[in-house]
Amino acid sequence: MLRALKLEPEKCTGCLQCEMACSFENEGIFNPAKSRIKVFTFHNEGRFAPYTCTQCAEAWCMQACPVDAIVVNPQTGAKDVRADVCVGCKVCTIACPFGTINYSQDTGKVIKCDLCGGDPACAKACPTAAITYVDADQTGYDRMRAWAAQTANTSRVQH
Amino acid sequence: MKITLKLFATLTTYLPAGAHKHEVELDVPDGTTPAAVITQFNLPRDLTHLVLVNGTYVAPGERDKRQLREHDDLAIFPPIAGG
Amino acid sequence: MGWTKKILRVNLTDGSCKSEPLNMEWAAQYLGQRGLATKYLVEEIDPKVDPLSPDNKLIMATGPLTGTMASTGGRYSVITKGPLTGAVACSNSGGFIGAEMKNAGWDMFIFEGKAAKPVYLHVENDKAELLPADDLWGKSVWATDELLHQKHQDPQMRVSCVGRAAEAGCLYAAVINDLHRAAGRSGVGTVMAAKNLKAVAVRGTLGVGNIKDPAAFMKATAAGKKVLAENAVTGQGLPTYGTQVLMNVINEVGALPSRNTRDVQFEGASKISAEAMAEPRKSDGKPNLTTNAACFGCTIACGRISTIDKEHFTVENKPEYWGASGGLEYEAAWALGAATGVDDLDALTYANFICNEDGFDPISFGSTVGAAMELYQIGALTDKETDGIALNFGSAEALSKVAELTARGEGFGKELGLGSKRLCEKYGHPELSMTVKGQEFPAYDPRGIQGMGLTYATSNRGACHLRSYTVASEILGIPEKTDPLVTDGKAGLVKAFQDATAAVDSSGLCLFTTFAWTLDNIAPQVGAACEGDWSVEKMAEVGERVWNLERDFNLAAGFTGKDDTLPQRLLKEAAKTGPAEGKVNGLEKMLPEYYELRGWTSDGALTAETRQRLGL
Repeated sequence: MLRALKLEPEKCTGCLQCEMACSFENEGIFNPAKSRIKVFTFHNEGRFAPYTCTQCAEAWCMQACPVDAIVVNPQTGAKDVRADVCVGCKVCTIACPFGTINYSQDTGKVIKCDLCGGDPACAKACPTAAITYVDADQTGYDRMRAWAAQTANTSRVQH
Repeated sequence: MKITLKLFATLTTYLPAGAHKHEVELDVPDGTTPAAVITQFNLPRDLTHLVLVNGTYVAPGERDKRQLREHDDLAIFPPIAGG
Repeated sequence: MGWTKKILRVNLTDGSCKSEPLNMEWAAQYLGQRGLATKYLVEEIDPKVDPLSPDNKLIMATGPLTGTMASTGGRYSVITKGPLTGAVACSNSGGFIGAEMKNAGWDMFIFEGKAAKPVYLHVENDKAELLPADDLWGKSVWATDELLHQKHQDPQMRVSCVGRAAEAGCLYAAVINDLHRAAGRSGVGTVMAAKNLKAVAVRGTLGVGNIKDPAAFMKATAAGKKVLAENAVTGQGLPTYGTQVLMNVINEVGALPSRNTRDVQFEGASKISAEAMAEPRKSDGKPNLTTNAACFGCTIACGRISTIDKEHFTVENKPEYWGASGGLEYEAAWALGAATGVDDLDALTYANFICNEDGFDPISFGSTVGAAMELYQIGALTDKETDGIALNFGSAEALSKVAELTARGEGFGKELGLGSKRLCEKYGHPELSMTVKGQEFPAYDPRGIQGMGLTYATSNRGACHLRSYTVASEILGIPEKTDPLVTDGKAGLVKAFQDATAAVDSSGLCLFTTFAWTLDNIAPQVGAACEGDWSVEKMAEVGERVWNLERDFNLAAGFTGKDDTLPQRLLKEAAKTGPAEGKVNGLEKMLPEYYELRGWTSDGALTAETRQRLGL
């Protein structure tokens, strides 16, 4: 069963634990600037929102890459960047409508979320479960359940 | 006799109908203890952290012994802190 | 390691920005942030220096855990000699700029001298330069933050700056970072403005990687986070209700100083409490509280984000105040509310926004307004001095108006900006100033919480709750309940809290972790990050050393044991209601025992033995 990152902005407090976990997992250093997941603060509205690659099925980045450096990982469903193949042309960064694949000046390659090979560090680090790693076909499950609870509020005994 | 029960923070939801904000006036038998009131309103024991009678703390071991008097204020708080 | 081992020294007089290595010998003795920066300050300035002269220095300092995955590891402090008190000033703030400094590769910024014209410091990793700030001078904190982000076209840059209050000489001006987090107390912002330094803008992309044992560190920090999550206070109480959950309990126990501390209970407390902030209002059905919010790396997230009712008189036709921003914390709600007798939640939120917008300490401000209201009531102040404002206890209109005046240093606001000590002296009633060493005390009445009397009297930065929060034990039962109405045992309690707090404040972590953590939880995190011995015993020793270093500086600055006292009202006028009815604070019983426990003389000076023991 494939899993997917599920992001629930209403639970986010803006603490950036996810950004540190991501950079530590991938770069060995606490560095939000190098995180593949980003938390955005909308100060005047009092809102926070984590955002990262959704691993599109027909990924724009993958299709745009001229050297086939972006490939589907069959274990995780993630679109992984093969660093040994990537030439750093940045065409994928133009193609991605969501801005979630970015060039790294340090390596001359692009970087994006690869779901940490199936055990995403951001989800483990999130203290409020605003980021979870769930059944890819059931990311709406909790929301359905919450609405279902509202429909089933009359006890059967009364009928 | 009449006492005032005040419940705060997460305990507010345990107040009975007729409560105003955090407090409600109760008619209780003479000699009622804080523990008896806690039981009457099904307050979870781990949330009855600070039990105050007229502002003075009643330790857990005293809560079933201390007898409330007419017009006493019984205020109960869950574990809280700030600063 | 934890430290970046680099300091940025900024000479404002000659405009130079130089990198220098961190003194690691001192780091081993003082850890970081509060302790280490105080060591630098003490070594580099004359204790008798005029705080607002170019010879004073201002240090922004992170701790070794700042910028790491340790929960709450985002703190930084601003250390200087304070203009409100003349004592050492050290104000701690969360938000995000501390971590940004670390990510840019710096443990500390040391500012010395004075710029000829307004400047700001711009730091991008290794690159640091002073840039002209003529266009920022005269602007609020919020406007300055926006202008700097526009100018540098960098939304991820973090800004600390001063507002108009500091420029106008308000003696309790704060350094505000990230719009609404404050290095709030003792006038650290006033010193910054006196140096013509308007702002510090930082962007760091280098990361924090100097961790001694990364695997052990991840394990220790994960264990710490688990403790915070499972603790009822840090896991549930603080994120849900924030610090404001205290309003009702402190009122119930009869320790809520009200109307300039004439009373110990406030009948309007429940209207300005955390519970009230969560109630839907009539106009739009929304509560005052929009959401909770975290500082960098914090898994507690106690911060309040609030809105003001658009129909409230304070913001009618002022859409710039209709958005969400930093809401009321307990101390601010107390000072702006109970201390002035105002029970209008929206007015308090507005005054709090103004304090953030122009950078001044709501505790000192609210307490000073409370004193002014008493002066007005007894006729020592009249409409002539107050610009025609009827400064009556309980007046939300008066509170809002004087907040605006103080923010800009206009009219009577200029006098309020000097603090209650100077105000009450000027109008002939020094006894009405609720201050110790010139600094207004916060939201706990020492008649109802005896240990807080000793806390205020001996605090190295003037009256303060964040130097030994014995409320935790005396009222809240953390780590264990003690009787708030007795003086027995309080000297030891205060000393233990003071030392532990000084250690936490030197680490990069937030003091609020200690509602769940002890040094047993903190020491392993520091030890995994930093080279050297960071056992619990060592941490406590560092805390004690820091405390004595601060004390020694104050004594050299001219303070004596005679300054370890309280306003007469707390020592002579008994509490009128509540459990403490009939009681005053028993400072005279606690102070000699405290001096002895500290290893000080009966005059409150360090003995040679104590000095030697702590390596001072």
